[in-house]
Amino acid sequence: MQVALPLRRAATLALSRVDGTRVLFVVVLLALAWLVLLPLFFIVRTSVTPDTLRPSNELTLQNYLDLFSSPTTYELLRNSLVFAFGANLIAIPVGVLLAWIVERTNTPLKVLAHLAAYSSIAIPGVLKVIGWILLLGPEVGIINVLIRGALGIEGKVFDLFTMPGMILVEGIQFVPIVFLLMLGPLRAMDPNLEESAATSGAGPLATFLHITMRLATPAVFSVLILTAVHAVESFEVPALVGLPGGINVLTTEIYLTISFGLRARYGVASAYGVILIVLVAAGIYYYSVLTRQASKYATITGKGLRPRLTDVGAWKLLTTPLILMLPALILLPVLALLWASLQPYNAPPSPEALGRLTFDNYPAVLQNSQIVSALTNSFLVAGAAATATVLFSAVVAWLVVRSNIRGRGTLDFLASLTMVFPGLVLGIALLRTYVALPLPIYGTLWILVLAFMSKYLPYGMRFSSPGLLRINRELEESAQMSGVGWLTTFRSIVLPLMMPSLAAAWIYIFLLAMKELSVALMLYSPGTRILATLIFDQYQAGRITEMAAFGITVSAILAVVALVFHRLSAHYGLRSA
Amino acid sequence: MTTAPAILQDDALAVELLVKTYVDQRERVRAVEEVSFVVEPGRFYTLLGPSGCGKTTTLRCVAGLERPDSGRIVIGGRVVNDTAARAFVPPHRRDIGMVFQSYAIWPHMNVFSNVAFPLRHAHTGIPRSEIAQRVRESLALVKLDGLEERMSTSLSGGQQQRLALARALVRRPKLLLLDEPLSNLDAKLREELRVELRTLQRTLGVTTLYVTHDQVEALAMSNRIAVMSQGRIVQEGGAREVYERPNSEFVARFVGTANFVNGTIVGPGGDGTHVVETPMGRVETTCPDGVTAGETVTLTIRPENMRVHASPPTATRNVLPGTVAEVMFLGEYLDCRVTVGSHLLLTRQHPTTRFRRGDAVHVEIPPELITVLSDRGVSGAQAMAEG
Repeated sequence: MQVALPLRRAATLALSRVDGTRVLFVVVLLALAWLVLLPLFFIVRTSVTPDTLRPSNELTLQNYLDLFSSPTTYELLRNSLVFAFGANLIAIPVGVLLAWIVERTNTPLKVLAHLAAYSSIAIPGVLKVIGWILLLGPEVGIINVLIRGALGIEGKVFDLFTMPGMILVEGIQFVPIVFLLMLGPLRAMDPNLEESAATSGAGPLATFLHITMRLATPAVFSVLILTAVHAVESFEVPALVGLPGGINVLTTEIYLTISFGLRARYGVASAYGVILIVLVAAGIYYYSVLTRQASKYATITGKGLRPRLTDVGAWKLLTTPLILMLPALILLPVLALLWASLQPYNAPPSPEALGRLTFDNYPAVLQNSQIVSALTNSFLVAGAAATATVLFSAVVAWLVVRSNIRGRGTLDFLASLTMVFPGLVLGIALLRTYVALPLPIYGTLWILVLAFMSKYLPYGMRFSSPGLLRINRELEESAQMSGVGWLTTFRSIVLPLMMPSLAAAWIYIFLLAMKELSVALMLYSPGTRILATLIFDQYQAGRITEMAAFGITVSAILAVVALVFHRLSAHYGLRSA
Repeated sequence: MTTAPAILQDDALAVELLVKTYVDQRERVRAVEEVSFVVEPGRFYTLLGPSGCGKTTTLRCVAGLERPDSGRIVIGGRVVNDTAARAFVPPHRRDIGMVFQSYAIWPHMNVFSNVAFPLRHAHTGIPRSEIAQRVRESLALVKLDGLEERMSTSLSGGQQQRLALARALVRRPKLLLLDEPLSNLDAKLREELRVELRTLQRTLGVTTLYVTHDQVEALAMSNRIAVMSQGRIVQEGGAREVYERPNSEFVARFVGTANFVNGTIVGPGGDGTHVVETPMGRVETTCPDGVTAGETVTLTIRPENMRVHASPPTATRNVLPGTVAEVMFLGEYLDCRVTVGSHLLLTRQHPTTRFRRGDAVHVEIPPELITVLSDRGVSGAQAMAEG
């Protein structure tokens, strides 16, 4: 005891010399490096490793040389870009027009557009795409069959499994996203800017063209970049619509390289992955430059006036049906799935099929142990990933926004870096990471939790940083003045005040994780199936009616969650896609 | 129901029985209630009132940015709104120019394009070749010439305000509408621009409707002021009239500072005045016609209209003994609070006067500088309106 006392005093003294936030900074920096830099390192490392049968430590650029000398690569690249910009050619004009109608005119029924756009967040992408295939598919697609019957012709009316078909389905997927992203900028526009055009003698059309649309241009352009990036890295439509028609893009080529053939050629797949990362990174960099420029357009805004709604008058005969397009685009694939879920085997609507209607698929869903286990896994993984991501991003945001530690910008950069990872590539990267590291989590749910954390950290940041900026710094300082330490201040002041933003972030990330396919595709094993991978597998296996019943049930559950999110974000603002 | 003033053909602006309501959270809010006024050509007319009084809504109805529930608006002899006749001219067809509180400078255009916009899009019939000339003239008026190519967002607050004014004037409108244009500027700049704006308005002779909550601005610039409260005009008149003879406690409080002292009429005094019993003692003053003994009235006394003396002054009327309760030196004047009887009076004295708390003093209140409010009206209001 006599010796211990001075020792303890010395230890306390040493600790008090160490700045608590500095320690935290180092810990957070290491965690970020683990989540972000490690997978990046391993994907690059794998891409310079030869795909030989025997493991080798040799480094080579052969994979890249092979890719760049092969004409296939350029065709894949061309397909990816045509696909991405084609989809935007549909999504941007439709989405922007609908957003303007909803946000700035007095068209009736616009609340339906809001509801539809938010409920579309609830439906897993893989399911929506399957719904559209059930509708538009060349052989038994409902619309093809109906037109065939109406015109009395044989054969297919149009073929979905083509590039235009892929573009159409992907474009439709992006309409609600463009719509939601454009609502904010259109709402934030100072109505005085349009009113002063009116008092300057400009009519409604001149005002719309020269003021409203010109002011919205930076926002439209940045949304375009964002959705183009998402389309380049998207997997569902290329896999389900493109592959059956023999059309390949970068993401599907990576998938094929790993999952088919004699053996998984990770080197080549990773080289493709790195190319994809560079493409996406370039897009995101351009996007960030654009949004920074857009702030130049910010003007002194007066007091919050009532937003001026353009009176559409008789034009509502046109604008109302346009608005109803949004719910229709969401409902159509769901209805197709609903129809399939009520059939003993997949068949388009006909009098005979109507006689076969049955509810048998629904109880079967609950008795299927595979389905129950996938559902449980998804809830566990999504819940854990959302909680961990939100708490971690709150701490990162605090360090970035509030501390004055040099290098805090690095944290912000690292936390947003995983945006450059397409899901499939992140999956491969983590696979290679945890096969190489002596951490036995490959084949468990933990690897999925870590993968989702990496993937959704940028989203967490987008809610946490503005949420924290809204809180007056003095609220924290007064806690410190009351003699309370950092941890207590963070726990009892910062976190509760950030709660609305964090709750919105949690639900949003939870929804994304519940629907995630491409990251998980590379990481799941038979025991760790989750929702989207199971739907994907079942569809591939042709078990369509059961899959549809399962999908409808899951979407109904997620729709409730999305509704809560809608409520929250109505108060605290949706800041990301 | 108020009767509307008769509209003369050459009135620049006439507003008759204007009503505007909003639905706010399922409740109908009456923002403007039967507001009527007339602005003569070339005059500077101000709507003055606290926020939420309906002044901006009235202005926006005149601009056509809001559609009134009922009422008539005539600009330069042309009916632009008449709900009875279902007539409504949209804002871009009205002969107006407007400056917004936020200036509403278009951030995607440079200075030149901002000013040229009304000429290019308003079907003014001005040939394209003359646009540049007109824009330069307009910018010269507000001393922004030479800045044509600058991006509008790089301008300072004061410059943006001038730019907004140039844009509003470039069409040479019949009516200029200004919605609190100075409220976003700092105090020094505000004073400068106040003078400049008034001089420019007078030079151009453009009829102006001005909205503000700042009584100093209103008093300094206007030919006529309408004080608004809760959607109605509560008093209209010249600057002096509104300040010296407020017709209600609200106006007296809102325009300037005032002491309010309740009292009871005792009986007639000398020179047609009345003697009023107050908590400060007996006070002589001119009362509204027809007041009788026993009636209660409110005396309104401006702080600067009282003199505080250390020793009894020679004046014999309304000299009341008191004690200095608080003294504050404010540079331009001395804020001196005096307890008289059971009442605390706020007075303003010349900054050179020196008093200390607890000093025994004498407060002199000239009878003609007291405004008496009673149920019968306002003392002296008649004389002012005629004078």
